[in-house]
Amino acid sequence: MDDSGFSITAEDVADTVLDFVPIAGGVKDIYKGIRDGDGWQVAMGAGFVVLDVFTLGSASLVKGAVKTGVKVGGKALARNAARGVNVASSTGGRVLPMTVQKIIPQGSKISDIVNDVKGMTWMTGNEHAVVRLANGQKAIVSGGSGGISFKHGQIRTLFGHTHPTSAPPSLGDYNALRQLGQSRQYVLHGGQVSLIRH
Amino acid sequence: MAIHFANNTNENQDLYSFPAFVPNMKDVLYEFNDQTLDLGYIKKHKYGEKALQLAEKAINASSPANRICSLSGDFVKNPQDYIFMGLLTSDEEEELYFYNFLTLDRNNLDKWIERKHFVRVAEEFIASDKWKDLGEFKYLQDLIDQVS
Repeated sequence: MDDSGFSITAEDVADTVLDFVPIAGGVKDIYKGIRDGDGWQVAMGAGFVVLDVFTLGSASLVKGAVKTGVKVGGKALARNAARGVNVASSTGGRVLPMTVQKIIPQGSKISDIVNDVKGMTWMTGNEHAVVRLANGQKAIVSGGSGGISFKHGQIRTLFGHTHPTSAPPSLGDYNALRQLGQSRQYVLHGGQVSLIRH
Repeated sequence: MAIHFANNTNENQDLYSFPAFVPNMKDVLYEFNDQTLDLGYIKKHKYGEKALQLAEKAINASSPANRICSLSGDFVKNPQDYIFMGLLTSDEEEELYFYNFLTLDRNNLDKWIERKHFVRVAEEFIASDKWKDLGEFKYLQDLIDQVS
C-alpha cells in the first residue's frame, strides 16, 4: 500500500513491465482499447507498435531520464487529482484553469487531433493538452500562457500536451508522468513529436 | 511540463512557472527550465533574477504577436516557415548569445548574411562540449540543420 492508501496490484506491475517491452506495450494498449471500447487507446497502441517497429523500440523515444516508478494507473491519478494538479506550460508564468476547447468525437483520427491541437497552440500561443475527462470523453483543453490547472476529478488521463516553440521535452515532463501515475505521453514541440515514457 | 500540486500548503505561495526556455542541460539556468518554483526561492538564487528576465524575454519573443522575421520585418504567417532560436546560451561572453531569441522566416534565409557565421559558431559550441540535450531530439543541431 502506498502513501495514499492505494495498493499496487500484480496487474499494475505487469502492466508497467509491459510498457517497457517494445511492441508488446502497444499490443496491450490495443487489447485494452478494444476491451473497453476506447478507440483512442486502440489508435495509440497502434501508433506505439508502428513506432517500435520502425525504431526497434528506441529511436525518438526519450528514455532513461526517469528510470523508476511503478505505475499505479488511475489510482495514482485519482490520488493526485484529489489534490488538484497544475500543469505548467512551456510558455509562461501564468497558469489558468482548464478550458475545454473541443470534445473529440468517437472514431477521430489521431492525425486530425494532432493537427487541431497544433493549430490551436499556434493561434493562441497557449499550452493545449489532449485529455480524457472525468465523464470519459476525450477532449482538447487549453490553459493560459503559464499552463493548465486541473481541478479535482476533472480529468482521468493526460495523453499529451504541446510546447508552443520547438523546446524539447523537459525533466518536468518526465516528473509529470510520474506524478500523474502514467507511463507515457506525447509532447508536440514546434513541428516535432516526441513520445516520452518512464 | 513543470507540475505542482495545488494543495493547502502551496495555495498561498507565490509561484512562478518557468517556460521550457533552456534546452541546453549544461546551461547554468537549466534547473529553472519548465519548473514551477517559489518566487522567494527564485529571488534568493544566484541566477534567479537572470532566469526570470530571460524567461520573460522568451515568452515575449515567442508570443503570436511577435512572430516577426528579424530579416524582413514581416509577420511569419505559416508555422512551417517559423524558426525561433530560443535561449541558446545565457552566457553573455559566448558569441552564440547574440543569436538568442532570433525569429526567422524560412523563406528569407537566403538574405541572412550571418547565416554561415551562425552555423560555425553553433557547431563550435557543440564541438566544445558546451551543449547537452536531454533526449534524442538535438535542439541546436536541429537549428543548424534548418538554416543550413
